[in-house]
Amino acid sequence: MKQMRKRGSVVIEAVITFSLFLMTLIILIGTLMTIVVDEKLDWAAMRTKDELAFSLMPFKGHSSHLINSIENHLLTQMAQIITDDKVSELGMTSMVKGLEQSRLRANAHGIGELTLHYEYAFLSLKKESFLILPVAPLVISDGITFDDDLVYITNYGEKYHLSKCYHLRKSKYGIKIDEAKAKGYEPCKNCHGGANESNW
Amino acid sequence: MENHEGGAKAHTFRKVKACLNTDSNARKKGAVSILMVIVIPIFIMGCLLVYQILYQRQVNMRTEKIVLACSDAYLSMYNGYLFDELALLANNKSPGVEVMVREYLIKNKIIDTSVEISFDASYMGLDQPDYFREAIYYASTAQIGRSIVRMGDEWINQLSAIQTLRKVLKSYNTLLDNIADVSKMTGIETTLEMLTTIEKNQFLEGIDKLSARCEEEEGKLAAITNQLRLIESQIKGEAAGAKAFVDSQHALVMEALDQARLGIQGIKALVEQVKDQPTLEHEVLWREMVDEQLKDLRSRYQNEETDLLDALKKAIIEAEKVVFSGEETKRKLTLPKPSASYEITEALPKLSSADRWLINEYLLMVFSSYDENCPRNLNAEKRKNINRPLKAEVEYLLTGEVAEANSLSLVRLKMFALREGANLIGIITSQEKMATLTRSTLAIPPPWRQVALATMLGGWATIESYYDVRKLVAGEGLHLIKTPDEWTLSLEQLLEGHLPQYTKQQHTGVKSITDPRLYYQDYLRLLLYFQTDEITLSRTMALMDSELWWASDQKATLEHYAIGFDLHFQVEHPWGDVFDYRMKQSIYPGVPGESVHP
Repeated sequence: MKQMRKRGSVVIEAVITFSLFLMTLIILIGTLMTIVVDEKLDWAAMRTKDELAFSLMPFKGHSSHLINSIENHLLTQMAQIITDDKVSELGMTSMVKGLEQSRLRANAHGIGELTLHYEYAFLSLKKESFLILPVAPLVISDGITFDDDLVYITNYGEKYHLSKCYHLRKSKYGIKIDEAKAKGYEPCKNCHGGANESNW
Repeated sequence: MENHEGGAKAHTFRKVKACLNTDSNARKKGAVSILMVIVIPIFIMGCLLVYQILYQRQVNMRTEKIVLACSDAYLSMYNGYLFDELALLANNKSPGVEVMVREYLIKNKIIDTSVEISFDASYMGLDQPDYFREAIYYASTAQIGRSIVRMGDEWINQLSAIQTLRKVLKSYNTLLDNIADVSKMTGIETTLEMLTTIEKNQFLEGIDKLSARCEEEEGKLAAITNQLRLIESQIKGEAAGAKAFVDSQHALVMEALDQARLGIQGIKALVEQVKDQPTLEHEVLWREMVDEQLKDLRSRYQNEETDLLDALKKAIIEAEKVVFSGEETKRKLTLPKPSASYEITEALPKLSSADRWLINEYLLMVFSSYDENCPRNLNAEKRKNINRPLKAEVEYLLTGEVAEANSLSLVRLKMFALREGANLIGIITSQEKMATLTRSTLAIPPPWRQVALATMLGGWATIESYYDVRKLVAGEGLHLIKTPDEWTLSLEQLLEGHLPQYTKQQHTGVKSITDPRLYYQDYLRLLLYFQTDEITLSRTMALMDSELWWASDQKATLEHYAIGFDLHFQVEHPWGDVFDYRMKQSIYPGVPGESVHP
């Protein structure tokens, strides 16, 4: 009887251990798989970036950059379509989910920024991952043309500034003063955005 | 006994069996424990180790991708001025690629914001002759392509501009017809006829009719003025180039209308006078006065009409000339950046003749020369910056002289030398000229005959070359070996000392690429080709440096821009691994660019 109990205990122990082991094994394999998935998704992001370099050309905007919210929305949609396409090409569609969180927006350098965000569709120690890459059209002007009537705007600001204004420390895009006014920008209260001074 | 022994054996067997059973359970239990305590942790540890190794490798590969993406993005962002003005693709060194790389490594959580990375970034600056030459080589192809596109565009615009001007002429013609119609509308002819044919006692009645008609015509004149203004605004809206032309004609047309108005008002005043004195005693006198006034009005219309039409036709011709020959630009002459000096000490790799020709064409396209309206100026892409330091930029490239007068003199001298050689060949190869020379020296005994022949040959070629240079500078074209009708000076004139006066000719204003004659710009081409690469390159660098210096309000120079970079950095990961990365990339494929992976 005692032996029977002992035998049963071993079986239970073995079953639990084996289950835990199997579980651990699955999670570990899943975790190792994340490396493969990350690598493939990184390539998908790189290919998306390369393809966007062509697609971004018509979206250069007034002088060099992407600030228009409508354009940003369109670009994000475009980026998502291209990313889905690339992920599908690499056979990774069933391995990841939540790709719709990926987006493309303007960055502080006056170019695009692709954020590829995804979750793993299998058990692993890691739940999600992301990759952020700068994306620029094949050629894009920095907007510096040494024009006397050149002023500078920022990503999200509503004022135009002189080159040396401290408001430009995060982002800076050159634009003709007339164009800035036409787009609804107003002169900065700090530097007055005067067009008669040298703006470089 | 046997039973007892048998029972003892069975007991021992049971004991052994029991003992064996206990061992089996213990073994099983031990195996599970070993699995739990040793194997599984080792397996887990092993897996985590493998994961760690793979993860490190993946992070390094991700870093590479981030650097590559930053590099692509950085190299894509060219400077607006250099590209717009000079078709040069170059990046601003500040902020450099390292700033972007650090930013994206932080964004991707590969490094922490507190981690300092020591970047070793060196840039392929435009202030280095080899990189600069590479940049202008590629810029030359871009500029030539751009120029071809612009030529096509300009041609279409020319046609469009002429069509617009023709529309303008048509509109004005319509307007003039309307103005001319004023005389018809006022019925001057009829009125004159009426005045001469009306019976006595009906004169006043006729005058009344004339008065009413004048009122009516004043209203019509006002309508015509409004129509004129409408047409003007339409024309100005359609073609910005037509604005100056329309403005110049505005006063003329308005004056004509004012004259018309004054004329009508004069008749009205006269009519009022007649009405105030309703006597027929002076009827003949009144008739004559009214008649005279109307005739005056009519002749004034006719004159104005002719003048206006002439002025319009002239304006059209002038406008066409401007469209074809381009506008003259006025630039200030200031010294270039004083520190601009690029002496090329190291020998650069030799360029092929085709490449040299390409670069020279680029220089002729982007830099201005003395004769901007030369038919051989192939640059259809006009420079936006017209306030550049020098006016005679190509001449500066050829002579290194900043002062325009000096550089022009030196270029003329070089052209003179070329023409002298060509004229000597022209005389020697011409049987007629040599026969004339020989005939002229027949009376001189040898060996002085040969001396005289050589002197006359040299003198003729020299003086003829002097005329040639004047013609070339004035914008005329000459065959390299001139045709007989292109010779200004005959031997007889030379011997008699009657040197012909040269009168400056104007450009034809029509570009002719197939014209076999050589123009001023062609000589600049030749001189640039004969100049060494190093000299041309160093002067080009100085010129562009100076242009940037002035354009940027003395803030930017060539050294601020680069065509590529060599980036080296190390990232120390939290697990102690050091990732060493080096990347060398350039915008242009000719410059060695490679990515050195760890």
